[in-house]
Amino acid sequence: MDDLELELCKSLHKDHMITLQLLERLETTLGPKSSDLPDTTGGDFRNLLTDLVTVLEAEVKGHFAFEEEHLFPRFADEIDPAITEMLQGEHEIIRPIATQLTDLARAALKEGFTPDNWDEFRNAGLELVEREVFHVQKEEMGFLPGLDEILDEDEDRELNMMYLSAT
Amino acid sequence: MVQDVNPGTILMSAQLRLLPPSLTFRFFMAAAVFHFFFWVAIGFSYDDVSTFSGGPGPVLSAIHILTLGVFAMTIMGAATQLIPVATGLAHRSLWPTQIAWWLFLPGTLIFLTGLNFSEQWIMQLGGLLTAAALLIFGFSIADLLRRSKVLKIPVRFAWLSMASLLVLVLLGLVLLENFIHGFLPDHQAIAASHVILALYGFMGLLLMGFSNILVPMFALSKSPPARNQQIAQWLAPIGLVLAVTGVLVNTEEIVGIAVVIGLIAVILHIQGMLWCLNSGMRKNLGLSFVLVKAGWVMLIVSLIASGLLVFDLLGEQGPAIFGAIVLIGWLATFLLGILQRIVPFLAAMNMSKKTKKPPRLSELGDETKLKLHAVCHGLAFVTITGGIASDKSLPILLGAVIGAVGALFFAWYVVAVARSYMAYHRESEATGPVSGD
Repeated sequence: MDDLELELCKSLHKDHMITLQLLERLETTLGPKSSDLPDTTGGDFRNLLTDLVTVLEAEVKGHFAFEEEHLFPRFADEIDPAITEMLQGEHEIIRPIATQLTDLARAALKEGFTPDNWDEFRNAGLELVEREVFHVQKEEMGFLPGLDEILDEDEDRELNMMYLSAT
Repeated sequence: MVQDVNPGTILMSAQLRLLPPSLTFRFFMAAAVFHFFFWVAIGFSYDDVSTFSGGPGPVLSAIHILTLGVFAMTIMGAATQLIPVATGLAHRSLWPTQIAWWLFLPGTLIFLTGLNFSEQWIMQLGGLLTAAALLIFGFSIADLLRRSKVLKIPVRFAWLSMASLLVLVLLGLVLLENFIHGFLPDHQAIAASHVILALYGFMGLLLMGFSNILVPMFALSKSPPARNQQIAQWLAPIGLVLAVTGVLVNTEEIVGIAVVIGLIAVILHIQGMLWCLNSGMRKNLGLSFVLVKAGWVMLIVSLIASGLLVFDLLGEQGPAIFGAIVLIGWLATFLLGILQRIVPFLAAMNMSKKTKKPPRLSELGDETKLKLHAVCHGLAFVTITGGIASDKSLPILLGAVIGAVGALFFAWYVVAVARSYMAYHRESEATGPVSGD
């Protein structure tokens, strides 16, 4: 995963980094299974929940939507439709899990967790980490370098501005 | 210095370059089975392990169960899949790989049988079949490397590895002939050269090359700084040539210099890999990379041990101690770490059907089995090495039993991944469109 030239690709890469850092925090927090419900009133865990809501909403409503509307069709036409089909399929799987997790996080920020919804949050969180990491891996290794080759500077400028305002 | 490696090409062509999973997975499944039988073989010959210093028989057979049945088998499966994906080039035909498989599996079994019972003609037949398979594999990989215009550093490492493979296969055949006709003035020197080229040449160089692709890929990092890898790429073959020269002319000092050069090459390489791990976007790399890092440590230890062995500083059990460190401590640990990463990864890459939601990587097999394997592997290594060093047979037997139990867990996991893959494709025929629910 070497140096990307285009500003759009750098913006997408930067958002991947933010997402991955968040997912690493989530995975570490959810890792050891415990019967104690976490404290959502303050501290690191509350910060994690807040960041989850912010980042995942931007990811799903901004990042995913932008890729699907503006980038996947171009990539499919000029490089390989099988890759974008695969990535699109992964978006469709990740999207509802991310939505479920943000809903649970939002509710927990207001009212804390019950044993049932903590289990639900934990399971959804671990699933999201795995699927999202695998997805980002593929985008970083193949999709972004591909975009870097097919877009020119004018397109890059325009698309990057659109992406930054969408997210 | 500008990095000349671009692993970013990998997944652009990955989907198009995936081989039929049955072709690659048969190598990995076979390796998992041979892994178990390696420990069984050590268990049956536990009384002879600590004094082993060469010659046909059960211990040499056990060693080749590991080197051919596990290491070469894994490398053949991994290289056959990874090199097309990494270079973006397709095999001209899959027939060479098919033929290599159908020669290598029976050839290895026949060879191991002959070796175990010191039956010369069976050894020769098996050796010829195995050699033919390895040469066919080598030539099919060389064809891809020759056509590749990308990934210069990994490709160069792979070329050096294939050159080592050619020489080690020829030396192996010469050694077999010598068992029958006894024409070599110094069988031990040729055998030592064969070992050096097999372990540090064929295996070591190819793993260094693959690591330049796989470590950045899994850690989501840039390629390692090219300078370190390029220097390692010059030093490693120089070290190899000096080591082989040193054993052939029976001059310890030359081998000693070779060990130092090899150590510098390895340290530069590992430094690059650690850079990838530290700078990568993905930090939590799980158990597989615990094994990989342990393998790196043992690679350095094995080189130091080889230097001590040459100067007779490892005692009477020196050859066996070195064998345990290099085969179990380094190569088995490293390869099993990589294998447990690429088996589910490859399975998942082949499970992207529209009609069914693919399982998560962790759902493909019970990862507890891998943890149990890792614990058993570590314990087995320590127990066996301790038994060899103290010249006591019972720890070697105990270590072999523990290792065999661990190998069963590992095989169980690989089989589970294969079954998940087959179940997914069966069920995807009958289900509706992918749902995120």
